[in-house]
Amino acid sequence: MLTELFSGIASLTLGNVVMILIGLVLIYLAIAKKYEPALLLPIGFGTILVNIPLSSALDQLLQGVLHRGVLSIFFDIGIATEIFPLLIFIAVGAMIDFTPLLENPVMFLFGAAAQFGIFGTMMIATLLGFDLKESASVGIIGAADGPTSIYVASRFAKHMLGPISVAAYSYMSLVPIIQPPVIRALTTKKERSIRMQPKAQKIPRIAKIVFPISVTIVASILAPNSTALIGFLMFGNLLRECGVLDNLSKSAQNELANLVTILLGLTIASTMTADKFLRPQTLVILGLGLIAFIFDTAAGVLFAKFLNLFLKRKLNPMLGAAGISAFPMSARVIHKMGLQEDPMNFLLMYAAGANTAGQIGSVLAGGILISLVGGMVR
Amino acid sequence: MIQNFLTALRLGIIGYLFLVGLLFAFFGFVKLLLRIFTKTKG
Repeated sequence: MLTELFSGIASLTLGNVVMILIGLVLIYLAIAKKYEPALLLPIGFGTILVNIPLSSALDQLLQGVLHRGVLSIFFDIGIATEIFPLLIFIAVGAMIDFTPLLENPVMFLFGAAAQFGIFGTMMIATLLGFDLKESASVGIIGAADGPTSIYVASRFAKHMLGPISVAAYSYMSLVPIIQPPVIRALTTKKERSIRMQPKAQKIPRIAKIVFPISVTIVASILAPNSTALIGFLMFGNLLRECGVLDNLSKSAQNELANLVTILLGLTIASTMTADKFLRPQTLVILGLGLIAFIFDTAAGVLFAKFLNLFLKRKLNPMLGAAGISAFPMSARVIHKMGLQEDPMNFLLMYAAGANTAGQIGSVLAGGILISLVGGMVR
Repeated sequence: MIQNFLTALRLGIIGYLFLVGLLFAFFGFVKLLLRIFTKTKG
């Protein structure tokens, strides 16, 4: 009788203790440092839940009978089916205003260039012993876009979902620390001071409505595996821009976003068990994630400098770095750096344009990876 | 491992160039879109 009562304590392992401490660290980072608190807090708390010995939050096989745990059920219905990240995309789409991008369509190019980290990191990961699908899942951290990372990893490497999610969301919140030194290393003060020419172009409402519909159709035809990702993102944006569904748009931005974020965070934590997380591989994934963000930033800046070779009116190369999808963090960082060099240099709207292009770019990159790698490894 | 790297290299180059091409196409598409709607409006 007593043995059963104290079975939790008796089953406690060093791995459990370490993971509970990691959960506490994540909660600390979320509350004290405000690092992506909406995700890191549920992940941290969930990590504690699933590392309690014999936790009923996870599936347990007791005397030959399977007792289903709530987080395992959430995982099966929300992550394995890819529903949670897709629902988040509706919310993200409803939150994004593509006007700055439509005002400066050239920013689309930065949204593509700054996805280099995904592909570059995938190549490096293969050299470190990861197979192709795992490498693609690690590389997608460079999308700087949590739902896309989860979407691709849940398809290719479910066993690595925990560290990939933690890396993706942690580095997104560390963009203000990661990007500035890379940008400074690749640009001169003169380049960082380049002012952008303001445009007086007003975007007609019809263009804002046609944009999400046409992007969905074109992108889906060219990269069919990105249909769900780009479709849900653009559906959310259409709710926002159509002008007749304000209630749905607000619900997507608030209730849907909040509810799915809670479920997503807790569910991701179900993969944060000691046996899956406490591996040398986790440290490698975290390291590669950082490399992916650095590659993204560098590629965006270098691409902007390359474009400047052909342009009469030069672009501020820092805008290239905003092409990563960490929205709106990256745009703010670039704007702040512009102001540091020249207090009258306002880059926010341009950076926001590049940033939203990065959102589209990262989603498409996810679809392209799924097509290419999925087609290669069956 | 080397085989995987070579495959990743190939897929990486193809994927990245495809993505850049796709977003370049969007760049042109949006310019066209704005031209159409701005003209229509004007």
